[in-house]
Amino acid sequence: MNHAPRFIPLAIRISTIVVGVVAAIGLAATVFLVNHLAKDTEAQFVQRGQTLSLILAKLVSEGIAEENLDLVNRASYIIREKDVVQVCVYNEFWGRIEVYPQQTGSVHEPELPPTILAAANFFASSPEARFFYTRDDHGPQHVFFARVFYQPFHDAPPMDAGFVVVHLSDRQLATARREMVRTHLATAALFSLVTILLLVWLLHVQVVKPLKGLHREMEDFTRQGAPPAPPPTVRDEVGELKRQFSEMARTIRRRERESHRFQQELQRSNQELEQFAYVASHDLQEPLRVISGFVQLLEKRQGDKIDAKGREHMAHIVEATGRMKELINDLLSYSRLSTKARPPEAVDLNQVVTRVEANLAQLIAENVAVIDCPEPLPTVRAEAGQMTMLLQNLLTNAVRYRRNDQPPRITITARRENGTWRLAVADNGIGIEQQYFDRIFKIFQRLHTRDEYPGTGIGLAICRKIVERHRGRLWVESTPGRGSTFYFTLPKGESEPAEGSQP
Amino acid sequence: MPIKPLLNPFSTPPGGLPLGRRLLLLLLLLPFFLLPAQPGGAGAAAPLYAAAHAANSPASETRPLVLRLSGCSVSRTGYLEQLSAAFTQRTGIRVLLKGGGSMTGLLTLDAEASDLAASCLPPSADHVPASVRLVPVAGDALVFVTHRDNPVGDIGLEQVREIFLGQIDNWRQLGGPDRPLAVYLQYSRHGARGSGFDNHGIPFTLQQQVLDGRPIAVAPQVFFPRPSGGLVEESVARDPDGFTVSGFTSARIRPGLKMLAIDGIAASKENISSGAYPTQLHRHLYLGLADDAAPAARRFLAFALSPEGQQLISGLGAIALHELP
Repeated sequence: MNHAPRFIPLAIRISTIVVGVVAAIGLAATVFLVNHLAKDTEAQFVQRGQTLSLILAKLVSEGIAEENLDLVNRASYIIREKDVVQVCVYNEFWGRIEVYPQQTGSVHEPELPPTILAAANFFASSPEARFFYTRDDHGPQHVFFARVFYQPFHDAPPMDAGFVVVHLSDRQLATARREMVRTHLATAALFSLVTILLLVWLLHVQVVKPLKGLHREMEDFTRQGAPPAPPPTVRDEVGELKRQFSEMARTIRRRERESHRFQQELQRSNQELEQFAYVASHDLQEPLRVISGFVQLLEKRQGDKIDAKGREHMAHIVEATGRMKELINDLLSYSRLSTKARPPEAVDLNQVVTRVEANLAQLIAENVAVIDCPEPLPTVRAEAGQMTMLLQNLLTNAVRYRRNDQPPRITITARRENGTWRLAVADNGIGIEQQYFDRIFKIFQRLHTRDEYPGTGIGLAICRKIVERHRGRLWVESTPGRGSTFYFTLPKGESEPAEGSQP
Repeated sequence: MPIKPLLNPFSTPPGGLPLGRRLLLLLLLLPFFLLPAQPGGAGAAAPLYAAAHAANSPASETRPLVLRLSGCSVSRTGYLEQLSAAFTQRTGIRVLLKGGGSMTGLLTLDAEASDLAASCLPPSADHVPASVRLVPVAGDALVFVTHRDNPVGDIGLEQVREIFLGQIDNWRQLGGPDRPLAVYLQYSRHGARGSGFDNHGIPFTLQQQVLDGRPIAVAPQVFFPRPSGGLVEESVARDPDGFTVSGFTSARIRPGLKMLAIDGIAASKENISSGAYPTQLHRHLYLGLADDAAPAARRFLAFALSPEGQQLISGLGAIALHELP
């Protein structure tokens, strides 16, 4: 069993491909973009922290230098920013001046957190540095340090006054990042969806619809022979396909008409030929009978007046007319195979063999032949009379072309083969040279003279015609001096109608 | 002075582009994935950042006619501002005056980050840098200070000792309301002496002259450290329960403060000059010069010690050198 591949509509296939490709590209692009923008977001965040810390440094520098807490309190402008967690103001030696939000009840100043020490080291090692940025180890915070310079008038040399520290909440960054990712994902999804819809629609209109139309036209043409639509005006691959299909359909239509005409002509010619053969052979017998009758009359009335030579000539005439009659009869029966055809029926080949044995009783007895069917023969669907003729011809040949040193022994066997029956008629006769395997089946073709073996040479031609009329095949296998086996195939079974017998 | 417009450009949180612009950006960017995107907020931040950077950048050290003076808060508040103004008027040399504490002044002078240091740490303190020469410029006395609205107006030296040795922690024990004291005092974690009180002139003097050398041990629950004397005074001026020890020179003019009388003797210039105010609280205010001090610094010191300078100091209400017995 070879199973047909599953039918997947083109539209679905194209849609799947488009969805896959667009989704993959969209996803890759989004990932790239989000990754890129995440870095931007982080950079913006750091930038903001640095800016805030630098502004704070400016705000509190006067307050630190003048030890004025009112001025230091300007730092509260910074703490109002929602992402600022804590703001610290230190003097030059990291003495904490103030912390915002202001903490009540503070006791001893806590030990310096590591980041402040790190910042101190950082600023100590690079005195030009303005700010320093670190992630706080203690929590999700980003800590920005900036130096405070005191410069009360614009051309004064800036004096170190202290440091400020701004803690920015990581949450703000995370929120910004999340928001950014969400926005871009949504945008990408929307964009991909629109792209997909657009592409699918375009492909549907441009490719699938014309193809479907073509498919429908082809189907209509195949089923009902409806004429294909005129070729389209648009020139593209589908248009070409449509044009070619239309051309092809016209060609097929023309060929069909031609073939139909040829067939009819052939049939008529065949009928005429068969009619001719039948009529000819039938009508040829009439003058032959006249010749034969008058020769006999001549012999009876004038026999004494004819000398021995004349009588010999007359015997030749009689014999020739007899042979001619035989030939005509054979030709007649050959043509009757078609003209006098009868509908097929179930034929039991065992009965046919029995009948043929009865018909050939004298020949069998004369030659002491043995006809053997080791297993029962099947029933085939065929024309009973023709089956009899077929087996009778084959068996006659098998007995007739015998070897002189042993009596003929004929075995008939049957075998199932590819839904047909293959029958074999094997003899132990003289056999046939391989080069004559084809020739023996031709009409009036003989390998031996009439004196050696009697017959007209039409038997096997009739056999072949019978088998071929039953949609079978007839052939021979033989070894000269050992015997021949004639094979033929016949349609099997009673159940199915025999196709072979239709005229 | 309100300073509000500064923050406005930064009120957009990071990544906060409006959705419409972001969509537009995305649509524009989509065909050019491989090109780097422009960081959104950088443009807005750049000018102000640049301004802040320019304003903060350290200028060359050789700027002429500017004297950098930093240090003792008492001196800075008490007389240095006016003295500097007079000096500038007279010489044209501008003075960059910064407080922050004696030790800060001495260390920055030592690090050549300033030209002149004000100090109330006496030269006897062994952690004064060796490169610094301290010259007394004015007289001063330790005063004990509370918030202006505090009902207590008088204190004894014994009570002072008890406060700084941790035995008194409530105003009730000083005859005031039943409220905990809030003792503000200079305390640094990174001075020449490491962490502690010794880095600062006032606690040092207090230990030497009042506590007989014993270390300060304020009860922890009422102790509020501050990095410099100015901030200590500022803090007490904002806390009705505040208490501290400071110098007469600055405490007398700091708004919101009240100087306590010692056993009935008010902390005033007259009482200090006359010797009625306990003399063990007397001390000097110094100016420190580096060995290789700039001429301008030497000029400033000379001006402060000149009769004109001393007269100016005295005229301010502070105590000139000769007024301290």
